[in-house]
Amino acid sequence: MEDKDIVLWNIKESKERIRKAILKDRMIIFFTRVLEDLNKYSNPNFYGRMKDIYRLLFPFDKETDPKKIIQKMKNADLSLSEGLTLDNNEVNYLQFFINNLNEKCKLRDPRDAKKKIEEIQKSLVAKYLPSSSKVIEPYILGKIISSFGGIQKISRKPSSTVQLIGAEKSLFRHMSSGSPPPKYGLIFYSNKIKNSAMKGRASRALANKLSISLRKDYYRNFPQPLS
Amino acid sequence: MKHKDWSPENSKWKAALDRGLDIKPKENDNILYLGASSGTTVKQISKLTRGIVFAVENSPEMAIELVKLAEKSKNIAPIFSDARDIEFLKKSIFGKRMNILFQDIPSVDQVEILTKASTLLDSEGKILFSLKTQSISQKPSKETFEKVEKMLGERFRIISKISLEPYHKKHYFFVLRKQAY
Ligand SMILES: C[S@@+](CC[C@H](N)C(=O)[O-])C[C@H]1O[C@@H](n2cnc3c(N)ncnc32)[C@H](O)[C@@H]1O
Repeated sequence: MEDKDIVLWNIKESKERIRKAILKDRMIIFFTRVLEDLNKYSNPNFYGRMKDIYRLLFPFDKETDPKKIIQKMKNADLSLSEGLTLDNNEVNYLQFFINNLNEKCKLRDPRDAKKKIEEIQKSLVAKYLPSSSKVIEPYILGKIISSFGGIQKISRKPSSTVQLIGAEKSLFRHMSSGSPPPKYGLIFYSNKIKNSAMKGRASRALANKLSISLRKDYYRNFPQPLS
Repeated sequence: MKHKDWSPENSKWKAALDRGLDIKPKENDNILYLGASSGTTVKQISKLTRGIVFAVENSPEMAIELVKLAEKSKNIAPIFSDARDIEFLKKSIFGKRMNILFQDIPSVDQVEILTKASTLLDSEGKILFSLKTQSISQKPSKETFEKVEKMLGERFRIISKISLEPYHKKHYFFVLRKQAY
């Protein structure tokens, strides 16, 4: 085989292998972050988020202009992406979001859209993280996965890290000034902790359970790239 | 990290070159580069040879950048793989003999990875090995260095060894050759 063809073969092969390594947890992270934006601001624009999702679906494209990216996303056949492979439902979820954006990249009807996006987020979590979604609320679960930067990374961490994720600020304060160490991070917002009398103990127990269920979900429902 | 320029701060190969090591690729060298990241060094090295630079990287984010770089160049073959997966590397190089094996992978088993990969190297080929002592052990840098040096000495001929301080903290650079039988 000629050098030129060896190079081309490797480019093609790597693209396919990379595609398989972009996991569906990215969709959960995407819709969780959209919800976070909607919780924080009354009518945010989604230029940044559109860029994120564009990079997941078309990782090898070179476009950087946000306006053009949005145009491309509106016209693209999302089931034919070079990156994350979407099933029909997922294509519809994304299309719902994209088609509801106006020319300023804001949602036309943020309140109604938010309800629908909450449903979307919930069903993605239920589909890919069935065990964990029984342990903690889907929105909090999404935030935890998003803070770790993906499900694969969580599966290698101990449950104490799961317990404290989201408490980086107070952990840092504890280390630099000796203030009391944090007992909980994002999981504190779960009703299971809010309603319990012994919050420290309850959060440790919850983190343990969650850590086990996340690992289970990861190995059952996600392909393990490069292994 | 800046992408544009090639400096001893962002590239261990460049740092070692600047220290006077004889590690410039020859015109037609094929190179197996383990731990390519987004390709800062690969890009520069690929300009120095007409052979192929096989660039191995296992992080998807980095490998995406590497593929984009390869699409713009002529002689970079990106390989999204664990460098330990020698069977896949073998398949990807299509029987080419490597003239240079470069490795920059901070990992506990870096000498093992190197030893395996060296089977793909031509008997006359050169090995360039970047060692980060901290990635192997928490022990003092010098102690780890000596241990690794001994391991390398048992498997290869050590041609030269230098420290990359102050450009890269606790980094060393070895030039090795295969042992003659
Ligand atoms: C220190 S960086 C390399 C920088 C690069 N040599 C340069 O000069 O631009 C190490 C890279 O090795 C990659 N890496 C780590 N373990 C690896 C493995 N087992 N197989 C392939 N790549 C690996 C990391 O993802 C990281 O991008």
